[in-house]
Amino acid sequence: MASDPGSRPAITIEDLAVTFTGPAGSLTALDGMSGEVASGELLAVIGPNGSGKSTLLRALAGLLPPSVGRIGLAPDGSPPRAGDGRVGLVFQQPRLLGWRSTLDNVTLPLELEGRPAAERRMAGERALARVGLTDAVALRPRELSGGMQQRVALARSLVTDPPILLLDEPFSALDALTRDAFDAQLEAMWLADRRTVVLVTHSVTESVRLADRIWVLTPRPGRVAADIPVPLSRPRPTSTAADPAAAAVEAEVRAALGSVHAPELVGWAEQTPEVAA
Amino acid sequence: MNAALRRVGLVLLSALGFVVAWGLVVAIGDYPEYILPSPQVVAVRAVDAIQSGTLQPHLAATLEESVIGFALGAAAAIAVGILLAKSLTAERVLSPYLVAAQAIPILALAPLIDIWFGGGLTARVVICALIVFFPIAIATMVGIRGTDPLLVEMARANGARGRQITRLLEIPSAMPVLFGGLRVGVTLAVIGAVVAEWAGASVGLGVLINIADQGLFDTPLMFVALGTLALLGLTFYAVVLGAERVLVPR
Repeated sequence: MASDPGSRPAITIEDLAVTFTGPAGSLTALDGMSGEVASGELLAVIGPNGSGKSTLLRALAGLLPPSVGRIGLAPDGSPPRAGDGRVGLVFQQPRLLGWRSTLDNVTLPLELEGRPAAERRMAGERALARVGLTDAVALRPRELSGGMQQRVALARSLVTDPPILLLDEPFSALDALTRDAFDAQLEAMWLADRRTVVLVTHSVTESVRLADRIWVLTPRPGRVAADIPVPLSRPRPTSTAADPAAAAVEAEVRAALGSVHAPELVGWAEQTPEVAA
Repeated sequence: MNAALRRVGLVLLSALGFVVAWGLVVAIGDYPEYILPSPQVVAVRAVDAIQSGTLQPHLAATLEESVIGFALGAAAAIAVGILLAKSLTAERVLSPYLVAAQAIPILALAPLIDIWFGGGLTARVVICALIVFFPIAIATMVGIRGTDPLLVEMARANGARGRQITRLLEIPSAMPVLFGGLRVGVTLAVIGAVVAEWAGASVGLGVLINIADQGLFDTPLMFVALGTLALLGLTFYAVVLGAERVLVPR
């Protein structure tokens, strides 16, 4: 819905392959992946374990170089370089530095850029305010709950105000109720600033709840198996279960996932359970 | 009673207990003074040694050697430890020599170092630095290697380069382990100083022990020197602990 056909896409992926080479051999995580993410779009990426979802995000963040193909980011379509300010990355775990205060954790990206202390402090307080943690400035990570720690991590990724936000299952460690609330906050934040967001998730419900579009990846090596639009109005309710349109999208995603179901199930899914007499 | 007071009280109580037990052993065993002097005798001898100015120059010499030796040894060890942690090549090339050097007793090396460095303060500082080097270098290496790779990836994603990762991530996360090495190292510094003095010196607490033993059969004076060494080690240890409290926030 946020896509504007006239504008240049925020992310362009052309025939991307990422292969890891180690002493035990090589492993191709992504192969032949192509796609575009429009500026201001919220894209969810879903797929079985080992489909290269996290690898995709790391490649988009400039942490992994493509083995084949290329990635281009707005504004100039150049490949990402870690720390070039165009993407913010939130991991599954908060990854905070335990010896630093909340504020000093949030301002780490600015410190790495060599910004002056006064500017860092202002930007850090603003980022913490956006996730509602103004009071936690001086606290240390271990004084915060898991959910609060993840909010600090989100603030850290926002502190440089990157046009693209990459979220790698950011709320998967939270309990279901907290996660629903976080999803609602994430949508509200996205509606307010219309940043381009790529959200990797394991949850079909979460992807339908949040995304404009859903990519279903194939098992390793991953590529886009299905590209499913989510034509639902915003803001969306916490549960989209009652909405037939949402149910239809969810069914479509599940069908796409079912056709690429995880290699972990091979040999088990085919078994007929024996019922004891 | 607050926690700090209770802690000090406990330390004093344990010291009192030690002295009382020592006194009882002497009283019950009825040992002659040249074998095991009583606490009172040692205390009187200590006051006498301080008043006559016997103890001070020896203490000053040992203090100087161990402080300089520890500082130099620790600084070199931290630098080498970082190098070992960061470079597999450096570890492969250097670590056999480090381990071999550590396996040779410092007591056996001391006379050689004394010859090489001309027998002065330099030689004693080098011996002291050598003995503190190993545990601190290993602790630094282990600490830096123990840095959470997830944190390193997070920093890289935010544009951190090699030096920044070392300064902002690896050194802070190595601090608790590094301080473990510094605690071991600082007590070894006192041993290093005494060994160095035995290899060739005319002043120092190690020398004082030799004088008391061989020249005078002054066992109480030996105890005064030993007690001073113990206090020196305790003081160093406390200083390192204090630094740890300030530098390693928990």
